[in-house]
Amino acid sequence: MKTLILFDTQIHAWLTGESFESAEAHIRNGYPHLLEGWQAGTLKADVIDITEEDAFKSELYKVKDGIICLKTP
Amino acid sequence: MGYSAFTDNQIQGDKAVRQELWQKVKDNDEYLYYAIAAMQAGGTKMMVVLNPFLENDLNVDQIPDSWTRYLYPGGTGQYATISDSKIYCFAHPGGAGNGGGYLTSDYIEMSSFWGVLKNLGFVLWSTVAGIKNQVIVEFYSNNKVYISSNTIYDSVANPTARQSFIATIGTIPDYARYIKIKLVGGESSVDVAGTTYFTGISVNPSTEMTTEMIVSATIAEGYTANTVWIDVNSVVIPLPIFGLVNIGFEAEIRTTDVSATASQRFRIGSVYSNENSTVSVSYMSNYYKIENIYIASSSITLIQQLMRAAGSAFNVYGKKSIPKTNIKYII
Repeated sequence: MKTLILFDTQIHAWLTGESFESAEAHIRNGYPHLLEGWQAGTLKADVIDITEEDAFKSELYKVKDGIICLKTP
Repeated sequence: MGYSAFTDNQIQGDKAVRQELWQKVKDNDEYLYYAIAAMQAGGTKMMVVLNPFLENDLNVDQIPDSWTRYLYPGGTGQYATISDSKIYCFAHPGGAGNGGGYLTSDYIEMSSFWGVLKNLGFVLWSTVAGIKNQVIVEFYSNNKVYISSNTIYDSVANPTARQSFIATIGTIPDYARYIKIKLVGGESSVDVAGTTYFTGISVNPSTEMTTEMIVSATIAEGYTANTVWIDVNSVVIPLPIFGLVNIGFEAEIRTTDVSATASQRFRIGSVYSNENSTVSVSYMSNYYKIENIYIASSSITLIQQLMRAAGSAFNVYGKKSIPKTNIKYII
């Protein structure tokens, strides 16, 4: 399942089923405090594939070296 | 001085043109000019779209009056006649880098009262669904300096028969006092040949609520310790209707420790509900609503979001409660 993630050094939004193109609409409608970072380019958006089983398990993921990756035990 | 109608006698072909006739032309022109100006700039600020059906083209240049046109490479923009109706359309010829074109309205003065500008209505369809069409609202300052824009329709899966849309304009930037409406047919980044038709552009069209339906849906208990809004659960809700709807429902929220405030909200796509918070360790019920969602499919996905206030690392929980699981659609 495609999941849109907004992040800088940490995850700021975990949006299940959303496209990359919808990032700005989400920021404007649901995360206005992130708008400044988005416009400045410090906030990034990425879409990753998550299994349906883990669709809402954002706690399994983290930001490392500028990319979203699974936390290792 | 009001509008003064011309008599047949005054415009007979063999009659000499007198100063009196030109005075009437001038007076009527000024009357109409100031009447429109009063609507646009007066205290009421009716936010009128001039030439909303794009039919008026006095100089027959194939560009609707009160609109400007841009054509992408290879693109054409012209009038077509469908069922005796004059319809404006853009044709994308296909080919990389080619496209149709877009129309941009004149400046439309908007009220400075926040929330007055809510929706934009338009009719749009294409001969090929996969062509890229957009409807964009551009915001301008009091000095008519561009601020930003909201893309309120952006699709490569367009209707192939006439369809009326009412789209939410979304967040309006501070200091925006004018808007322009941009209708993009056959945007050039998508290489699909076809024709797109536009008509019926209106600001804040009537969204009269006519029907109310109740549908049951449940979201199982979800939780998070995150300190940012995170999707935690969802439910797919069948919708027996198409069009603009408001959705209201009750849901519950609690925390595991009074030092950790629990907050909950919901979203459908990128349209968000109101938020509710609690420090109660027992479930508290609150009302949520999501307004002005345009429904174009047989179901929607309602997504629950939770957030814990920064502080103690306790989980916060939320769910749609029983028996308050009904979701009320107001259509």
